Amino acid sequence: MADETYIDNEKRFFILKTYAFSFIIFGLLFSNYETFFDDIFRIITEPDFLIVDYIKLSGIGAAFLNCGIVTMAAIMILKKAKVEITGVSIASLWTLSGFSLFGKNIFNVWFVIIGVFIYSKIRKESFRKYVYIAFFGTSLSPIITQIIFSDALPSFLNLILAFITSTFLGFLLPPLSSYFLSFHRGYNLYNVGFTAGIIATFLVSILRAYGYSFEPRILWSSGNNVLLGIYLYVLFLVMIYMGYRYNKNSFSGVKKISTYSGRLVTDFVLLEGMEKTLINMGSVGLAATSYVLLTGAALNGPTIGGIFTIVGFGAFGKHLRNIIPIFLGVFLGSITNMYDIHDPNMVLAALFGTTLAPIAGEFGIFWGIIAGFLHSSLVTNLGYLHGGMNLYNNGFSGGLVAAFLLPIIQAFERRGKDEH
Amino acid sequence: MNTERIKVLRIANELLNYMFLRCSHALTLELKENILGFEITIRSACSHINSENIAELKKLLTPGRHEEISDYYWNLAGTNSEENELNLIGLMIDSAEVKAENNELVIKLVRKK
Repeated sequence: MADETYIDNEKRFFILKTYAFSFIIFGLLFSNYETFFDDIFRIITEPDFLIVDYIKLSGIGAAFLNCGIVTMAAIMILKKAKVEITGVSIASLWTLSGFSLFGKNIFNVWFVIIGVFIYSKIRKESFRKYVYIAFFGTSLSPIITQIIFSDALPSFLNLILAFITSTFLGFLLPPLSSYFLSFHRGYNLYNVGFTAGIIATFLVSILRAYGYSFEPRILWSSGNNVLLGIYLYVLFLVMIYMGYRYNKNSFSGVKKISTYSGRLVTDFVLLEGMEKTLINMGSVGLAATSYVLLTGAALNGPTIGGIFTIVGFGAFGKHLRNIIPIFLGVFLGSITNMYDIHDPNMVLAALFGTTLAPIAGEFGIFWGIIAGFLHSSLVTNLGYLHGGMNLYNNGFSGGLVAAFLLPIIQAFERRGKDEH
Repeated sequence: MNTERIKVLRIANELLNYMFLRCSHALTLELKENILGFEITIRSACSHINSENIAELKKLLTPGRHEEISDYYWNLAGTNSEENELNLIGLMIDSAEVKAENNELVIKLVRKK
């Protein structure tokens, strides 16, 4: 008789689809049907460079509907590619979901994915090998929106230029993202964010040299904490309950997850099973949501994006032991620097700064706090370089913080070991 | 050198790191290539290894080959002696055998072409 507590690949797909479906239902429940098409159209056509909160732009309904459709379509791609759902699949999907509330939409994400697809076909390899790079690589989607809806050229030329650019990006992302891993040695979980930061810095520098300008802007909604807070708590509590049920009505074995450093590649689904991973994902989701609420920040597209990304990486490296020191580090930064703790920059630095969680996981709380602290300053200084075109700005910063800190940490740690 | 061979060398290097740091400094590594693939066997005296360590090693090395993960992350394998990436090695190989007999630890890995 089949073990009903084992979560096989079909059940994993079902769980992911259920979450995508819940985003769609939530979106439909809170949509304004009088302005429905206008709201969706605005999400597609407005510039997407950092920070554009789709909830501010078009309301909760349209934002979550966009998020649900993008997530469901991505799940279908994984299904079609016959992928086994593991931690990295979940991380890439939830990251895509999260950013579909502020920058990725049902129109702009496909260009980069198609670019990577073309790359795989030219190399005569299965797209399956590159599917995660393609999903993470959609962090560069704002460039596509910027090109297509630019007034500089006629529409059809914009479309051709967007297609050429996305194919170009598709060719750059796989080799560069693999190569840049050695820069931070797997201590920056958002590796494609770092890669995309470098690529976008080059692209934006070239465009600036030819007279293009990128005016910073920020769309940031607030006032929805009760509704969105309840929704998120329910979402994550159900996740924990599901994991608990599949784990034979117990939390046994979940603690083992927090013994891993979380450094790339730590796939909790493969190492400890989907049921324990679900409990971990729900737990980090609750912690991240609570951080936003306790600091008085707003739950909105970008912050929920950050929370969803943490939840996704709760299957691929993050757990309470390694994310809390990062929160503390950014918290320390934001009570001492010129920003308020609930400023967009600082709350996003705390949530997405958990890209550095493996530093806390490997070297302990102290270094985790230092990493978070450094990140809280550095991340505010990098957006200009890529003009906000890389949505994973924190991944870009995380790569630099990790590469800067690792030799220092290891010099201290090694000295300590040598002395004993 | 083609990428496939570099990957195999990284796997071997990762095993060397693991055994060199945790077992004795006298170890033997055998790397064979045939038309089907590569076989890497490493053995070393390892008096302090216990059944729990063996179970952990088996868990890390036997999730099965996952090219969609390993083809992206393989660059992390075998580059740094201070962190082990055996979980990544597990995703790069088709099968693994871990045995401890008479205080000797033997790990045999197969990567098909």
